[in-house]
Parts: sequence; structure tokens; C-alpha cells
Amino acid sequence: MFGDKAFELVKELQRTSETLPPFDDDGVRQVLEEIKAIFEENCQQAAAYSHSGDRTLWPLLSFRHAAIQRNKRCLLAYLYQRLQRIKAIRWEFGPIVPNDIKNSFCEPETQWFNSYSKSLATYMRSIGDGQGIDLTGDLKPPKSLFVEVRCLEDYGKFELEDGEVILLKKNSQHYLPRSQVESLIRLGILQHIS
Amino acid sequence: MGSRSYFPSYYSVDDIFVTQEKISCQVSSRLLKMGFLDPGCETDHLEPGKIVKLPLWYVKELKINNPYLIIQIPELYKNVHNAICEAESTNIDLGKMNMQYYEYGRYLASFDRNHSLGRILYETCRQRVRHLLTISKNTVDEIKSENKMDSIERGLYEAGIRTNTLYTNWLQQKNSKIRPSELVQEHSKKRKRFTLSDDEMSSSLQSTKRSM
Repeated sequence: MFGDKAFELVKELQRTSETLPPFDDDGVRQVLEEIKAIFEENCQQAAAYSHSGDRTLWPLLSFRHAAIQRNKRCLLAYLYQRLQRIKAIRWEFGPIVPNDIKNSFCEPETQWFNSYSKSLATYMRSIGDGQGIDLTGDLKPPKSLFVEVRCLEDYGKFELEDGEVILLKKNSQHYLPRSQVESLIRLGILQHIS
Repeated sequence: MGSRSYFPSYYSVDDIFVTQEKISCQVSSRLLKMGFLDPGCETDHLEPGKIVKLPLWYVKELKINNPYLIIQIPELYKNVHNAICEAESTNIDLGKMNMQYYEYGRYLASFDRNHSLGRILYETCRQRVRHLLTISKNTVDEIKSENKMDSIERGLYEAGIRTNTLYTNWLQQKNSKIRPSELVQEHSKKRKRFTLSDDEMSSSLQSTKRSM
């Protein structure tokens, strides 16, 4: 049936919730080919109609037209949903994305991610009276300036804003400025303990 | 993913799922070269009187008084109607009948010549929503996999539970901890699974080598 391949694309994306599956190059190409094939057949029949004025093929024509639109909708929805996920990834992971996620991007998506990341950074620098505000930080109102954290993996050296360098080793505990370690907690490298 | 709007947006995945449903239609005039729609059909054309299953994305483009096809309203909605009249509608297993009960019905309502489908949808929803409110208020910890709901009801139910937990957490001032982001958590879980399966692969490879 027409449109089934396009639907598979959307269904497959929906099945792998949240993170991003690799871009389905082959699937997208097949749908584009199907659209092209239907379009060409419809063009032929439309041309035949303008010669003969024979209306008997109208239902078929309209069915095929609906199929083209259906395919188009599924394709666009597929791309759009992926963009939404990539956007979420930028907010959750920050500008540096783990390699295995990055490998799931297709070329235009990588470009889009880079320019989105850039725009976001430029915007965050421009607000806050020339100082810039990190909009991805302080998602919950801070109650204290320092937090107690435990390290969940061997991260290595970490330099604080005052120049002090600390070594983040697995299972070590530290008392650090909240604003500087929040992103590490969000990335699951440190655990906030009270 | 994405917000639920009453009028589904062009990119709405939920709506794409609904419009994939197949509906039985009766052919009312000879349709040339459309035999491919019916897998059991041997001729190129569809003859009047034949029943074919057509996807909703095509059917919704048709008008109710079109000269080619008569759309048949699925039995499912009639059954629900009977159930509502006979018993508690909260016991109907909507999820089992159709995961997109309401959305699907909304499309079909415009093809219903008796004009009863709209009322049925309204009545089912009216009777069930209050029950949803009660159970989502009383579920405290984990979201139970209750399968008696359609996808919209499930969304409402989960939103209800989430709001309720947020509210109790706020009351008990539990929320001051910074938590790792959900996306990151899911990603690291996935990564662990992958590395685990890699380990298993290599160990099984080694054992096969040893046995050789």
C-alpha cells in the first residue's frame, strides 16, 4: 500500500523514545522514490484527461494525490521530530555531545546543531547586562552557594574559576561551588548528596 | 514528545498514527484501475458493492456524499454505545479496542449518517474523566501499567500523577537537589547495555576459541 514505508519511518522513530536513532538514509530515499513514481503516473493521466475529458479515472487520481501528500507529511514529521530531539539534546548535554549520539546525526543535522548551538551561545552572552547568563543552569532555585557532591566516575582534573585544580576521582567527595558543578551533576558525572 | 493540541498539528506523530487506521468502505460506482486496493481482487477495476479497507489519510479527504465510496462506521463505536447504556463505562477496555479511540472517532464522526457518534464520544469521555482524576490522585509512587485507557486518557493520567508528585515534593521541600537530566540518564543506560553486550560477545568468543 502507498504510504506504508513513510509511516514505518515515523513509527520507528517513535519506538526509540527520547534519544536519537541513526538517520534512516535508505528509508527516506525509498519514500522519495515512491513519491516521484506516483507523481509521474499522475502527471501522465492528468495530461490524458486534458485531451480526452474522460473523468472515469478521477478517483484514482485523487487517491494517488492523497498518497503523495501523506508521504510528504510523514517525511516532514520524521525530520521535524528529529530536530526537536536534537534541540533537546543541546539543552541537556550542552554544546559537547557524546560521540555515539553525534554519529546518529546526518550531515545537515550536524550543521543545524552547530548553528543552533552557536545562536544559543550568542544569545546567552548578549543578555544579563553584558555579563551573560547561562540559561541551562540554575533550573531549580539555589538554596546554598556550595553543594556536597560525590564523584561517580573518574573524570580527571577540574579547574575551578578561582584557579584551584581538583582531581575528580571515582567515589571521592567534594564540597564545591554550586554554580560551577551544576552542569557536571546534570551530565551524571557528579552526584548531589545532602 | 510535543504538546497535545486539540487540533493536531501537521507534524503531530499521534495524528499520523490515527490516520494510518484502515476503514471498511463500500464501493458505490465502478472504480477504474483501482483493483490494487483490494488484495483479493482479480480484476483491474473495483466493482460496485465490493468492500475494501482504505486508510484514513485517504478517506478523510472524501466528502460524505461522494459518488464513489460509502464509509462504514466500525462496530467498535456501536459496542461502546451499548456498554455505556448497560454498565459502568469506566470498566470498558478502550486501549484494547483502539489506542486512539477519541481521535479516530473524531475523524469518523463526520461520516456518521445517524449523527450519534459524536454523542457517544462525548458521553464516554464525560463518564471516564472523573474516574481518571480519582485514580491519578490516589496513585502515589510508580505509574502502573493500566491498559484500560486510550492514548489521550493515558496522557491525562500521567500528567495527573506527575503534577501530584511535584506538588507533594514541593510541600515536603524535597526538590532542592540537583538531579541528572533524564536524557543523560537514558543515554548512559543505553551505553551500559551496549558495553555489557560487547563484553558478553567477547567472552563468548573467547570461550568458543577455547573449546576449539
